[in-house]
Amino acid sequence: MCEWEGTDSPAASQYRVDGRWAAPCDFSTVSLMSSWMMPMSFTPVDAALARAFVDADLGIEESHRLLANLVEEGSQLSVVTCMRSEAGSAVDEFSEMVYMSRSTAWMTVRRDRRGDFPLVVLPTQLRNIVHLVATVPYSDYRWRKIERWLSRSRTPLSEFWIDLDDFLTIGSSLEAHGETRASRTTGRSVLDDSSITRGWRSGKPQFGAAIDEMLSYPASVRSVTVRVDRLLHAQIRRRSGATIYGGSFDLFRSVILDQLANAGQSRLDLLTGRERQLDRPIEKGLAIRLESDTFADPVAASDLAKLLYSDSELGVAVLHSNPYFHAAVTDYTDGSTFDVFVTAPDEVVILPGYRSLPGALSRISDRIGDRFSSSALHETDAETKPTLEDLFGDG
Amino acid sequence: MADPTCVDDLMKSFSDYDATVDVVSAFEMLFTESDTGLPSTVAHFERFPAIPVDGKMLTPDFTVLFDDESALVGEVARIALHENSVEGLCRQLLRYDALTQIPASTGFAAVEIPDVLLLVPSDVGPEASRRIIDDRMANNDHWYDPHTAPTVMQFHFDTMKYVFQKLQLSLNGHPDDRERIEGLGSWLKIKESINVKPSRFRAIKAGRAFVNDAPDDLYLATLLWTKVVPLQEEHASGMKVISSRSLRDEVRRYFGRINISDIRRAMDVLARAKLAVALRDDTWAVAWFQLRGAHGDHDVARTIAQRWCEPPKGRGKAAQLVAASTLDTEAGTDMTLFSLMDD
Repeated sequence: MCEWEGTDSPAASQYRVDGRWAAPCDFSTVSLMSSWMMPMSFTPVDAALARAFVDADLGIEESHRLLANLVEEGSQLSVVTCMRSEAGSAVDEFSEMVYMSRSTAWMTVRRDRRGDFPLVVLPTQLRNIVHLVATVPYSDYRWRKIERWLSRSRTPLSEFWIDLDDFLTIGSSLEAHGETRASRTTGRSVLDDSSITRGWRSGKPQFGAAIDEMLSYPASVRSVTVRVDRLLHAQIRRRSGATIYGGSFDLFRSVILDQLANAGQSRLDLLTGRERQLDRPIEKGLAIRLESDTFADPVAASDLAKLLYSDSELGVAVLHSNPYFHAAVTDYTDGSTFDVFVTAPDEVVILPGYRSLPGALSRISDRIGDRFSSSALHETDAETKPTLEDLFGDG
Repeated sequence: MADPTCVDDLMKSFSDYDATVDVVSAFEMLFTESDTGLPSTVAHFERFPAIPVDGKMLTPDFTVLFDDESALVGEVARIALHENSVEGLCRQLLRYDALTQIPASTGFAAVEIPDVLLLVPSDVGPEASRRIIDDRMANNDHWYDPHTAPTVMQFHFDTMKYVFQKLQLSLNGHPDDRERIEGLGSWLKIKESINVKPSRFRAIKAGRAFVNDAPDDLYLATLLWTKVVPLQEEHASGMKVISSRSLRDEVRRYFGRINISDIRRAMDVLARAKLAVALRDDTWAVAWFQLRGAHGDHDVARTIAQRWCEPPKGRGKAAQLVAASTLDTEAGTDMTLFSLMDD
């Protein structure tokens, strides 16, 4: 168990952990059984989270209560919701504990030269969806390191890109509790991949109107910061996450986090079991539906190639680039393989290969969806076969 | 210093092969999946025909056995300018014209005088027709004298669809539908062109990956790198170790017919690009890692081509890993020994 050595200094608290807790947990392999004594220094806010979760085996309800207390005391919580795939290999202690932890929260500590911080893995009612929770602001670079780790290693956890419909549903669900106004939105231009930020001090638009405005640029919506009357101040992110700045944690949890979790489960169901089967034709794949006819412009295919090339974890061979696009893609992190096609102006199709793990499918579909403003990821419609009229006409 | 056109030449050949894959995939879709009467007339479509004739194996790009025991043989050709190329193609077409058996769902079925369909790119279509049909077939002094004229169709890509167009020349052949309810022959009497969107055949293309011609070496090397090698287990050395025979079997299992000689040529490409090393017993060690190209060009095929044209200095990561491991190499193995083994 942990022993706390509180100090009078508000700058930091220190604690020691023995026995089963192994640290520093910098995602390298550390023996679970080794004992160690190493001081850490947290900010007071981070220390509060660490103190709350230092005991293992906290159930979901108890965890929520502790997080609600922290918010009441002034902490902001940033959350990244992850799918946990049964596939993938546990290559480090963190992954092992992710596999082990099914129904209780547990905490790990991330060592960083700019400041250690605790990261809580919070299970949900859905077996394969977890929330990663920290008091470190989401804009902090330490979250980028975690996200890079999620995307690059052979871990069972992966983020996902929420469908626009699910994002809008969160907004409308909040509106059922009170007037929901956007104070800030961020997005990424579909035309030149530049970032777009809109902020309002007065005349804050409603949630749906703020989204529509961002889409009109055209841009891919990335986040919305909202106030729900005086009940909640939060940010909701397309990349499966949210932050509560203040207000009711229960509202945050029940509307935002639970809907993120549901969206994650739907996404995991969609991505699981997609690999191609021997001796069976490829019948269905995944379609990234776009908000507009982006690929009517031939330049977009070139942009897609550039996007895929820019990911150093992907091996990309463009077999056909103009006017239709076909690339053979392999994910070096886990050996997943896909064919990526653009054969319609408003859709990118991914046909999985003989190994196509959910994490890899999520990474590639999310990257494409983010860059080209996807509205939804879904199974491809069964390709209608051409009639004679089609063959004599448009094909 | 590498030939300045080396990479572009390799990529041109790569692209031409990919277009052939498109064309054959489009016709496979027409004959087997289209929502027309055509699939119901087909007893067997063979994507990888291998037909023994007089001790040789004929390998047209596809064959169609119809339920009335007639047949069609398809060939995609890019005719070069020099006469030898045309002569060689006519010899090939004549052999197809003389076929007496066509692949069936099991074994072969006896046929008489199959239709021959020649598909050529539009930039050579009229010229191909003239040189094959007018200069040779219609020329009584030339040996090219098939039972029936081949049907020459040209193809090109036009606003998001492939267009297959029968050349309207008086001596051009025409597919004989016989008594079948529907067929290419009847279609081409209604309209001179058939249009196919890539979305109609993308699943076939992804699933089949290549055609019956000896695959372009770079194309197969790229396919191995992106689709087959990733599926192999990693050796203790950190490399993927696999024999040519196993690679052939894997490719056949996942995609279609391939010969071991094709595999070896493709692996030689990777070896020259210092991405693989030949070990003993026709086995390869592949350093399968994030392959990044020079000057920001990270396309896998182009990167392999660049490395083939100008092999990296030094032994390369593959050789270094092999040297550090327990794997054995046997440089200079006489590969001709393996040509005696079955393909």
